[in-house]
Amino acid sequence: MGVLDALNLDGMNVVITGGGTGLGLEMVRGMAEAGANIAIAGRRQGPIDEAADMVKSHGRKSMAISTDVTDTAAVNSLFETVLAEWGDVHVLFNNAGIVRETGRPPLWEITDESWRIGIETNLSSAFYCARAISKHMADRGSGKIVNVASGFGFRGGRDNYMYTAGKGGVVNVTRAMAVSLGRYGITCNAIVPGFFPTEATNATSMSLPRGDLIPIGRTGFPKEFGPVAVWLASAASDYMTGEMFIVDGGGLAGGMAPTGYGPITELA
Amino acid sequence: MPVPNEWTLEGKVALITADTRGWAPVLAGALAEAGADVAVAGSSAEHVESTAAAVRAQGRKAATIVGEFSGYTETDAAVNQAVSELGGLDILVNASLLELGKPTLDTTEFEWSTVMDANAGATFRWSRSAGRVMTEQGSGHIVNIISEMAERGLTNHVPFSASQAAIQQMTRSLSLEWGTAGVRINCIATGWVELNPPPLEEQQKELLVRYLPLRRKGTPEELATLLIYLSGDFSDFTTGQTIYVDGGAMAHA
Repeated sequence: MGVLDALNLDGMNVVITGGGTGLGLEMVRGMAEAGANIAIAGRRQGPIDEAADMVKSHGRKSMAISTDVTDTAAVNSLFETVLAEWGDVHVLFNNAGIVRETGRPPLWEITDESWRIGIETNLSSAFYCARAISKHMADRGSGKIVNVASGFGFRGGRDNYMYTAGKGGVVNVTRAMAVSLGRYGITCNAIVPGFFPTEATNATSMSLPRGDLIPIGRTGFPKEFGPVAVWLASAASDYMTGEMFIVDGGGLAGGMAPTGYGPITELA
Repeated sequence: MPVPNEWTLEGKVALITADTRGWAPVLAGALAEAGADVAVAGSSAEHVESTAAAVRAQGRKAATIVGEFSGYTETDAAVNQAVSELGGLDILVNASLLELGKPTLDTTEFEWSTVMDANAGATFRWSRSAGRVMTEQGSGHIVNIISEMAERGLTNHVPFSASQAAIQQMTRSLSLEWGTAGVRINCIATGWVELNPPPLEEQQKELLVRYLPLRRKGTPEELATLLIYLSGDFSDFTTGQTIYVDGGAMAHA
């Protein structure tokens, strides 16, 4: 058996939230190519139906289940449906998130509702989904939970409260789950994307920093996400838990100054 | 200015290393203002003397030690001199740094080893020499003034940032090694701090300054009270830590 065989996802059942568009869709594509059956949850039926068709075109099983991930009854029902159909869930990808609803209001203009929806979608949804499926994974003695955080989970984002706070919460709930669920054979890690222009980010007024402000000189391509998802879903990552898989073009390595800034000083 | 009781360094003796950036007089003056006598060590007689003058200006005793301090013999001797002239050693402030900003492809082996030794090497030597006294007496505070390049990369600063990370990690390991011996070791990590920065309007023409959350550079004066806190007995439950004073740079994406 070669080393790459560990990446084979044949027979693995994956549930992913926010899997119909953007980075989620690319992760779905990657895992389908690697052999996984994928249940795709998302708000809008159209995109998740298309994603499910794409998975089926690879010869895998797929379901598209329209789900509001901030509604715990809907989340519980999502996992009941998948378990009833497939019997097992091996991997959960908590990918659903929203950058912001509209505009970039200053702090004093953010409504209770806007804060609540932002935190519910970016943070609570990961908790609700993990809660709904972790007992099943613990009973089997194995499972993988992969959360999608953000570079903004580590650094402040200007006028970007619900995303930054929610993703910061995702970073640390990942560690809490890793520490708590390890004894049941469940690992929990997070993917930390940098700037990836996707439908979600383009649809808002969020201004992406120019490529030349990112150390490797460009924003990310969504297709660069598939291999990461496959690795974290597969047996190849079995000994990794509580960790952050950062894919950000080097952004978090810097931050003291604009990229490329580097004053020249001679030895005193 | 009267110093609140909790913030006094009355009766303490500090040793501070001085480089040519001009921060040492500010920092040593603050220690003296809080009540400490201060020994000053450095290779530039002029900067050692101006630092000692800042201590004396606060009505405290100063000792001056000029040398290269490239081996334990010299740092041991300097510590002994501070102890014999000022009556003990409670605080070590490693405030001397050697900067280098240069593209990696142009950096010589000499520059790499000089920067690593002047920063990480010297911090280790001073800590070891002061630690002999501090572990013996069962108390002491070591404060390393470093750059936050310990944690953040910066173009043209490969040897320098590596040397800062070395000091930060030395701080963590040493705090474990000497924790039960009563010695506390912490870092103050600075962002873009300079002595007498230009007026705000001038500063904000720089891309760098516009990038910083506080839209200005910091000054050594803004490190002073934190240095006093980390040098005193009131911070005895804090060790192995790095505290950043950086106008928000570390929070920035």
